[in-house]
Amino acid sequence: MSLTTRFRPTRFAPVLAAALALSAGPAAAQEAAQTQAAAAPSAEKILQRAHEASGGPAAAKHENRVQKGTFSVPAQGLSGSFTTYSAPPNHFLNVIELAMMGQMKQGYDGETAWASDAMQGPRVLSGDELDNLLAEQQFDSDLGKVFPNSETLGSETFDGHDCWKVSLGMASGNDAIGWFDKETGLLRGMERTMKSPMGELPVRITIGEYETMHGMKVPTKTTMAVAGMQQVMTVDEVMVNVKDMPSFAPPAEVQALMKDQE
Amino acid sequence: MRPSRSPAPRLLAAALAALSASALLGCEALKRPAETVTEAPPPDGGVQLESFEQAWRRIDETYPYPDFKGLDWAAVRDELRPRAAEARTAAELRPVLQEMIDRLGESHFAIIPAGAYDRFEELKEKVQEAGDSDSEEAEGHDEGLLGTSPFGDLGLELRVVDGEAVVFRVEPGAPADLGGVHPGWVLERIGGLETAELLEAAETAEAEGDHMARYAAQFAMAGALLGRPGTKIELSFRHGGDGRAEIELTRREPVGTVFGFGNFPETLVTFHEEVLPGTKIGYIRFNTFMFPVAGPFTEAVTRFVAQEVDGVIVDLRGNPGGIGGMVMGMAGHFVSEPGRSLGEMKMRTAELRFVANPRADFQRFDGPVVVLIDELSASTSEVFAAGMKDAASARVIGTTSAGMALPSIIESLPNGDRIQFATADLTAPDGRRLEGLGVEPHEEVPLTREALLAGRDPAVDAAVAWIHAQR
Repeated sequence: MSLTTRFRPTRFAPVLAAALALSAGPAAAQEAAQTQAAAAPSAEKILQRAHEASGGPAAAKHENRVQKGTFSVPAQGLSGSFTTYSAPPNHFLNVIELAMMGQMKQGYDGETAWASDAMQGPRVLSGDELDNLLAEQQFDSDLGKVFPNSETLGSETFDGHDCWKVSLGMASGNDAIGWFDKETGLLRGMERTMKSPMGELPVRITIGEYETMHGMKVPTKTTMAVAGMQQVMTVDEVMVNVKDMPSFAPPAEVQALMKDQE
Repeated sequence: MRPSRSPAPRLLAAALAALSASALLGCEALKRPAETVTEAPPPDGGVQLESFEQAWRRIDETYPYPDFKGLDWAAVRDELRPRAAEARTAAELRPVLQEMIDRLGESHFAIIPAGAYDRFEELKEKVQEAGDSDSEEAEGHDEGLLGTSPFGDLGLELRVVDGEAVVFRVEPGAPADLGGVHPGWVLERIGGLETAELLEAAETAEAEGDHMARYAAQFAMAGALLGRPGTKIELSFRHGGDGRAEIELTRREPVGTVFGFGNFPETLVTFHEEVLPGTKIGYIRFNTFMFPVAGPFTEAVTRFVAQEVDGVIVDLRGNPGGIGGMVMGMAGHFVSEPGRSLGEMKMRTAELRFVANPRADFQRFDGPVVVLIDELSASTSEVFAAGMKDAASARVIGTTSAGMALPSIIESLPNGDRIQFATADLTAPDGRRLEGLGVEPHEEVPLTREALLAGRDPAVDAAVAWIHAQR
């Protein structure tokens, strides 16, 4: 979704028709939107508040984190589990276990971002897919770093919460829209376009629940709408400063691919 | 990791999007609701109407063409809703739902009854009605020898050749082989079921506009041969000399992996690979694109590369499809250039490409590749064949594929039934739509009874000849 959502032509169409006789319609609506935006805090402040509300400063002191949970696609009878291992500054290993499919893995060790699963085979990630992935793997959870080109759009209710709506702009130009709870400061939802070699997929993320774990506000129930399907993620456990973390390095099948590409 | 927004959702979304966007293409055998399946939950008019509304709404939300290609989808709902409101059971609602999806006129839309995954009990019941010996009262039946799997089979594969059900393959050592059945024989009767009658009805239905009737008939015959291991079935053949043979065969334990994925019914996944005798040509055959095939496929190609074979044949005849995303990893065994398109998928909200993900050298075969297809190759098989034609310059041999290639998902309805609906349209890398048209082979090589009786497979012969000509 782009910045043009501020003006929402379809909503203003009936007003525009009336404007032929009452010419203040669209101009007045635009003025109202601008007034609303003017009263809102800056995107920088909203993101900073989100960082603090989620326990970001404390989280940044962790040596590493492990997050475990489950996911499901209820309408299709699919379910599985996931484990995410992460370490500063942006290293991670994500392991998804899908019933009857085995593991889907994705990781970054500081040099190579990779993925491997039974469906797509092993891959070395690059381009927009890599940019998005690395930009989001900020261990210190500072959204301001991830989205340095952000702008407050105004107020909007999202999933029943009164929120600030923010246009989130990445340095790479891959943008998103975020909704931040006015009361708690926490992120309530996001819409963005996921980019990969397969193309672009719109995703809508709704964070339904938060729990406090290790001084952090962890989104424990998240719903994603992707390609016409709802996926539900539940975080069950978060551990910090774990010993014996797995390697983030590419697995053998990816390393073989990398060797060929040298 | 940001505590306020874990990377896991996005990473998971990316991974699951690839899976769900590619979705599952196939299983046309599920298209028609059965009449004799187990009933759904207790009757409740409210549940049936709710099921109707959900089915209509999901299609309204996801059909890839917002204008429904000129069909007034809202009017379809208004017209059929009163009948749906009168339904008190899932069985009463099914014809209404079927009529609704039939208005779309496309494949990969189906109503799957709540009991349909016990389809072999359904088929058994039908065959029993026709006088088949596959019953507890059958002479020679030994309860203690019966297996529990519904996938017991005979090692026998059929095709329709010149309007007749002909034995295409007989697996060495399987019950059909041990019973003396030979490729090229005409299967005239399965228990009490006359195959000619079934095929004639399918031809009539095709002529009247049901372009999937012949396809469904072939899979119905294949299904009728399956049953619990240890059970018997009587088959009537017309053999090579036009004489006849009545043979009673006993189904064996299934050979393969029984695999279920989400709302899709369990299926028996089989995989076969070899270097063709007398040649240096690798041959791979599997019956569906499901995850148990991925590992063996990689191992087979890796072995062929090590053995420096002259060519590879991937036989997708009779393969009705499966998980569409698998083509990306599998085509990567034959494509060296990253990002080569295998086809495009147009959804309501996005357009995605299936792209080949090249493997490492030791797992990638860069020589001549042939893909075999026939009229029963559908869905993901068609995506793979069309994609390989372009991305790997593969030679496609056989007969035009089924033309049923819409990505779809299966969801549960409140009344216990399930609905399969297509969420995207597919085009080959050259932009040609696959639905309704299929993949045309470079070489049209149909099966003939003469060739089968002589122990030959004309399409494989043509593939071997082409590979040798490339040397």
